[in-house]
Amino acid sequence: MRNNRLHTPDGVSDFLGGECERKRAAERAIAGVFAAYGYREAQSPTFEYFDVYGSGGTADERVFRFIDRDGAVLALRPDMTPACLRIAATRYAAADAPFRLSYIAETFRRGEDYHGKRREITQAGAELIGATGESAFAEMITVSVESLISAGLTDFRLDMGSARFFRALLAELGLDGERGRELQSYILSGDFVAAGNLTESIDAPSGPKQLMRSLPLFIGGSEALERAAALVTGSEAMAALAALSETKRRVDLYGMGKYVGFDLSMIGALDYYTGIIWNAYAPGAAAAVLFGGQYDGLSARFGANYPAVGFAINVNTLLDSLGAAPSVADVLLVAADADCADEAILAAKELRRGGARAQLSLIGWGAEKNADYARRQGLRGLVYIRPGLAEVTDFAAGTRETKKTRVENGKWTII
Amino acid sequence: MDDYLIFALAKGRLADIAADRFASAGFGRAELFGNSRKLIFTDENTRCRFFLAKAGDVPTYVETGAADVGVAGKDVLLEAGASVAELLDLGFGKCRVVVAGKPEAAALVREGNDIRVATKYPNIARAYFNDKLGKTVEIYKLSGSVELGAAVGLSDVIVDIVETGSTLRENGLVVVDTIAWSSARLIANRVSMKLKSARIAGLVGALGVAGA
Repeated sequence: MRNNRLHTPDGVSDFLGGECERKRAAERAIAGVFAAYGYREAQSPTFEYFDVYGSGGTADERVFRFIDRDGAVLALRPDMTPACLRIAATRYAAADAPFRLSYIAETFRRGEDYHGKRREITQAGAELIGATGESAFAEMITVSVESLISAGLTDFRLDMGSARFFRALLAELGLDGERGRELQSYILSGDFVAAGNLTESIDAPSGPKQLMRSLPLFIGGSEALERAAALVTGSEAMAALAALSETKRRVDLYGMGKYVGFDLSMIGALDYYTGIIWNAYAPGAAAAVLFGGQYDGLSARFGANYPAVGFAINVNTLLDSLGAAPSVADVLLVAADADCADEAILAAKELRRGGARAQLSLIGWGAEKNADYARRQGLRGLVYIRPGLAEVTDFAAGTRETKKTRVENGKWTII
Repeated sequence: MDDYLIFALAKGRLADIAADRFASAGFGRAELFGNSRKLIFTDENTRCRFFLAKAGDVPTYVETGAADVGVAGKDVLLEAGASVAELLDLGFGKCRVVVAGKPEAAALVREGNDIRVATKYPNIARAYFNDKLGKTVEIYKLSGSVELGAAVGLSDVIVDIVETGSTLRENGLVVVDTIAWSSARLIANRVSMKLKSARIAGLVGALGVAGA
């Protein structure tokens, strides 16, 4: 029988060594971009009342739930957006809006049983609450792009779509109510064949029909928007396309336009997203590394009335596309002959003061065994201390030098 | 970013049909597979790579991005529930997913409960009986010759695909209900749809015109 003590459950994992360092470095870089744009970090509880998250951006059945002492239903946060909206609505005064919040936090979702889907996901995100319009969207998209670049991602693409445009298109097709929802669910699940068949069966103007039947062909640059604009007629659909186009123009001003395109097949869960939506994809990752959008209705659940726009980076997915972690840790092992143990402490202290990372060998091995240990640990090199001497070996560079040293007033120096 | 476009196809007769359709759309070339027993084939001229997988695994290869696009029957897609984009009905490989059984099974499905079902499609069977009919079922997963399940009394009914229905008839079974109509679908990885959007749109455009 399998011994569960030795395994982690499906969908969660350890992060060790270089992988962990790489994750933290990405998080720090992203946090730096958030701060540079004035987004202040918010920490919310890991679990809250289910009521905060229920019927939010995550399907209820995917929320981890448990019962409090008094019978209240609690939930591990499946994402951070509802908590940010709750915070804006209940902790800050409306007169002080807009609010810029950011977070880096673990989120939890029940995944499918297989396909290797993660159940614990680190999300790094920002929310702009109480502001709206193309200038707000462009800022958020720019922060999205800069965050990914700061984390080291170079090859990626961010596409904008519009839930507002899709709603307008449904209206032009005369599809409201049940049939509209059916069409929406086909497109959300990626079944464009069923969506096409349903569209084919209705009596509606040919332009909007053609667009709805071939939504996946409307992915690309501004020419995709122009082709779409030629097929719709209503003012609402045209206004939604104009908003996308104007947002892109402003992102161009920020200098980030070359990463940004359009995807009109991206419609979002319509009860959640109200306008613009965007996703970023990179090679090597099986899902979006970043997703964001406008959700003007969400704050009403917390008794407020803020327009809101925000995004989250799926840090685990981001790491997948960044490739393998470096295997060598930039750390020196400081070891010493038995009679030089005191000198080794001073030497390590001095190396750290000079900006190096140094770990002290606490075991009285000789030079050879210490070198062996340092190599197996993936450390960069070994500094072996002998009376008045230091043997400095850099494994990567393949160099080995012996330097004269002295200790004066409790300070170790290379002469 | 714009390297090979990778296709996952189901081993067998349908792979040849699909590959020919792709070739006439300008992706790959005719008679790519020949009589080779290889599993991976590359056409340098059109920058396409094809591999042959077991039919039921095609959605997994495409979902994870091991392949950008693939061809899978709707029956397989319904069973796999994979998160892929379904772009085109290719129109071949037509069949039905049906509930079948001995003639008396129709009444059992209509009025009975705790029905025993043998199938290669447990997810489709469960969704049909539990969600659509609201009935409790006991499912036996078989890996082939599913008709036998109902014919020898392992189960009350089977859920399986039929093309002409002759195998059912020869084993004394009749169709009780049609759950879904199936045909070969062009599917795509949802990330590839973004990162290789121009090539995939070109493929959809060329196949769509050819198939119309």
